[in-house]
Amino acid sequence: MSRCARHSAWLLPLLLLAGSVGATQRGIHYGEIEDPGLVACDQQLWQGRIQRARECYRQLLGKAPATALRAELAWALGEIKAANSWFRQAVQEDPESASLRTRWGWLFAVTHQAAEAQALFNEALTLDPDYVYAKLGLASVMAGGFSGAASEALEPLLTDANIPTGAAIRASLLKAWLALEEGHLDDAATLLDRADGMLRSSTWPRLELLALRAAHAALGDEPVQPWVDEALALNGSFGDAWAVPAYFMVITRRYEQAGRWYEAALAVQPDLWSARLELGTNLLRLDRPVEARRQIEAAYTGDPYNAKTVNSLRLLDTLDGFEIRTLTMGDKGLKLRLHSEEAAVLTPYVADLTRRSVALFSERYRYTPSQPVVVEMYPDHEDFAVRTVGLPGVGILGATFGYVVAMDSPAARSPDDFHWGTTLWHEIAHIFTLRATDHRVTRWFSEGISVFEEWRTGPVPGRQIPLVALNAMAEGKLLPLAELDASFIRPSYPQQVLVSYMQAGLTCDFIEQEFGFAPLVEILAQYKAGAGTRTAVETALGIKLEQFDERFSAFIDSEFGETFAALTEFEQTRGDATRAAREQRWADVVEPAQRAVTLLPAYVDADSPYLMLARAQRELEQPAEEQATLQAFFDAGGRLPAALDRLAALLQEQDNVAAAADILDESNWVAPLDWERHSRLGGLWMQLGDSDAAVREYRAALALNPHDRADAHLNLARSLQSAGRADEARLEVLSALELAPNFREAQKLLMSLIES
Amino acid sequence: MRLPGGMLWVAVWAVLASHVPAASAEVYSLTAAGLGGDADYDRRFAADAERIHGAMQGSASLLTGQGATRETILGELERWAASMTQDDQAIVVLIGHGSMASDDYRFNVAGPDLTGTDLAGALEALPAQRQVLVNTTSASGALLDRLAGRPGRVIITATKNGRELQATRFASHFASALRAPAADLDKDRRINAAEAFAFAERAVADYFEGEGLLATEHPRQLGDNPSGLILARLDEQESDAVAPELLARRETLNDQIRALRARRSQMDQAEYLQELQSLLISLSMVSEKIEAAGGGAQSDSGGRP
Repeated sequence: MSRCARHSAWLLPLLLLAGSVGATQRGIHYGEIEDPGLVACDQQLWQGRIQRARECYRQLLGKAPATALRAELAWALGEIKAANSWFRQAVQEDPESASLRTRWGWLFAVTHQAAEAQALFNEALTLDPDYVYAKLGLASVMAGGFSGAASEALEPLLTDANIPTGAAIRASLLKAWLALEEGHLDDAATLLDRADGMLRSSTWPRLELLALRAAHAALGDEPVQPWVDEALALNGSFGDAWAVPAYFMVITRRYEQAGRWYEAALAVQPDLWSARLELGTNLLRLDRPVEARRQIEAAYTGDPYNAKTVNSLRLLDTLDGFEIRTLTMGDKGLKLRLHSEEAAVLTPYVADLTRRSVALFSERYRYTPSQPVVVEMYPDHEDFAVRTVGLPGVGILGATFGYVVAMDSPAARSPDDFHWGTTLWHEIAHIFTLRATDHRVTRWFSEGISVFEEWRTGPVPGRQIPLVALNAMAEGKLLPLAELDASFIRPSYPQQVLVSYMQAGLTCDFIEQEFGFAPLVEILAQYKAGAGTRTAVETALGIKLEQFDERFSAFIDSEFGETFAALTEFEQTRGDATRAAREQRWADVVEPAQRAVTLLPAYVDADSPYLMLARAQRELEQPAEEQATLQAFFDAGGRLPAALDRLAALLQEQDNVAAAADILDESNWVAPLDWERHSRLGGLWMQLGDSDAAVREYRAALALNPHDRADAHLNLARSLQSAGRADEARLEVLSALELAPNFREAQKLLMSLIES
Repeated sequence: MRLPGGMLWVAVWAVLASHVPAASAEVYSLTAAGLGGDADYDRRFAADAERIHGAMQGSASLLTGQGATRETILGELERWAASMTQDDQAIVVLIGHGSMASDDYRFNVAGPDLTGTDLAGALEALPAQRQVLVNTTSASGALLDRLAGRPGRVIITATKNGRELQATRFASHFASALRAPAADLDKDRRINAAEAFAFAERAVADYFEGEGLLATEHPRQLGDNPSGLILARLDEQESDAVAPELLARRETLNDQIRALRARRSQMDQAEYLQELQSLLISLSMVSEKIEAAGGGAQSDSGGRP
């Protein structure tokens, strides 16, 4: 659940297919290894006879085996560094062996080194372009990175009747995994049936198949227990029987269910470190950091190779520097986890926006939060990124886990391209779509509602569609609705996730315009009842999905036809204006910039023609025109702080204090960490007689460690006095005078407060 | 319980009092601008030097361009040494390009460069206990460890070491600080060395942050009680019409407030605020009388550096 782009990770599919069976993480190799002695030992392991398997491996090792087998045995016994050394030596001894490099690649894969694994798989394919297990290795790494190329790589393997049965099984299982991730349950079932048929006539265990059956059942709201029981009957310590369905619960945002199943996985296999890490990560999503730390630290002791574990521990250390503020909001309250250096400044704004959005969405979506909402904001983007790693389609700005919203704080990004207020609004909307559907909402609809609410009710109303998305729309790249969800998981071209966000938002916008708001709520109800997208949309709208696609396509043409036609000229005129501005030929900027604004008035990014035009008008000393341009930029949704500062200054020059205050007030949703702006805004509110607003701004200014703290205290004292809060005013003026005892203005205020 | 507090008060007062120049103390200042290397830098350095020189009190000298040489600078300091007493205050401000050669700092002036060794020797020869060296050049941080450490001396540099070699912006902001109400953090209408440094340091940081550039200079300040070293006044001296006893009373109250602040951590918060308020009310009343007698307003509000 997120706003904007995605994050890549590659771990989880490998845990199943590369092997998390037992602590050795060597897994089921489906014919990739032919040594009968080793396979016999592996069979013991796959049946859960771990001690017997280890004895078997040790006995083999005692017989001075060949180097390649020695590497496998060291790996099987958990001696990863030794295994790596043996593989290196084996490859030196037999440099032409594709299979050796492939096995070595898997060792890297299961120790979380995807790039090295990929390189070895590619080397194997250079030696033997037909080596199917190397192809499977590559596809697995791609799948783990949520690459759309994974499916394409698997397709030929699924239709090639000449590949070994084991490889065909592994290909089917991996493809089924991808289908489950993309929500194509029917396709997954077919693939699992195919794999099952082959497995039943083979000597390989059905463990991974059964884990995927359990996942399939979980995603279809069917009981998982029969499949888990069957898997555990084959191997009583096969934790993935629970951990695999748990993973699918995580990526479909059912975190509480996922947590229960990870615990079950660890109950049968305590050394399944990947599950322990995921359990810890999941506990963080559920706002249980103390328990999370215990699990993640335990995961680290068992698997120190996993960068995600290390990063999670660092994040937990970082959280020690955060303040928790518990505030009132409705019946259940609001909890803010903000960095201690930002908490005092951000709290009033975050609380205000969260309260407003929760109240509005409660009414619109007929759902009231049943737990406190938690908002976490990270001033360091890397800390936020740790919260989302391993989740497909998760963005770079914010993420929502049930009642917990995690996002970048305004300090983490440039205000030129990050409107934190809109991001928070977007994420709060996710709480409603997730919780109102018991987390059954599809990704496209949840993102769609969040984008739609940004545009319709957010801090900056109006559609904001990036150029890249407009171009993709103009090129006919929008998807049929039935395929939209998968594009969030495995995009088929760069920026497709961003385009899909826009399509999802426009879809909800279209539904509201054509069918009214009620069907949006009805779709949520359908999802809650277990319906898929087809049923939900067809029931709520009363038309077939194919008809919907046709009407939506016509809507896009109608709404954006002129825009699409203008894109080329827009780029051209914007380019002309940019060149003239770069060369400071200000008079030459005006015409092309004006034309570009006319062609695409909604384009208000940092390189917007509005801003070039305003700059030119300033240089040409045309303040009235400059003000009109900046006002148009603002009205179109432009929120670049520097532009807003300038517009406010121009308004102030004309004594339009109220308008200037409104403009600067909007800056708080973009760049609230500038003490000078808060101080200036506080002064405007004082002029307008809004003492409470002035107190808020002066307090924020003071919390930002202004250069002149005595002056900041005095400003706050004056606003408090004006708000009738004399005692607080007296304390603030004492603070001012404590810093600057001879501060005459503060002395006068103190005397006036004492006398009154 | 009162005795330890009282003893501390005496100790703090003694330290603070030791930094106040004696009534007859003279302030000697020298502002020197070196070679710019091109016309733009020459102009900028000269302009900054004139602004700083113009804000200085007492006996102020200015050397710029071809007139600022190793010989003239050291000669000026030698002249000071002949007439200066230990109660006097010495302020040396260097503006221009600095560099490092043969492990020694060099201030680039016409003719032979002025070296760190030259400066160390000349400053050491000055009788004045209170000395301020404001070196705004590139590589000026090389002098920090070398010249700091002598009691009563404050060193301000534009860079953190001798390896920051880009032309600096610090001088311009330091010059602004000496005239800026916003730099006057304690609102006494005087700019002390600590205030000027804080203003300029912040302005430099804001410049690099605002431009999205990696900072190439990191100002530093070392030495005893820089806030006790007054560099400039925002107002003229208070009128002769103000009764000396009022001014003395104001200084006493200020001392008492400083002492109270020093005891804050040992006091109950409510008790501290009560005493603070009481002293501040007294100070406000004295200030009002001084103002009425033509002493002028103590302060106004500032803004961003």
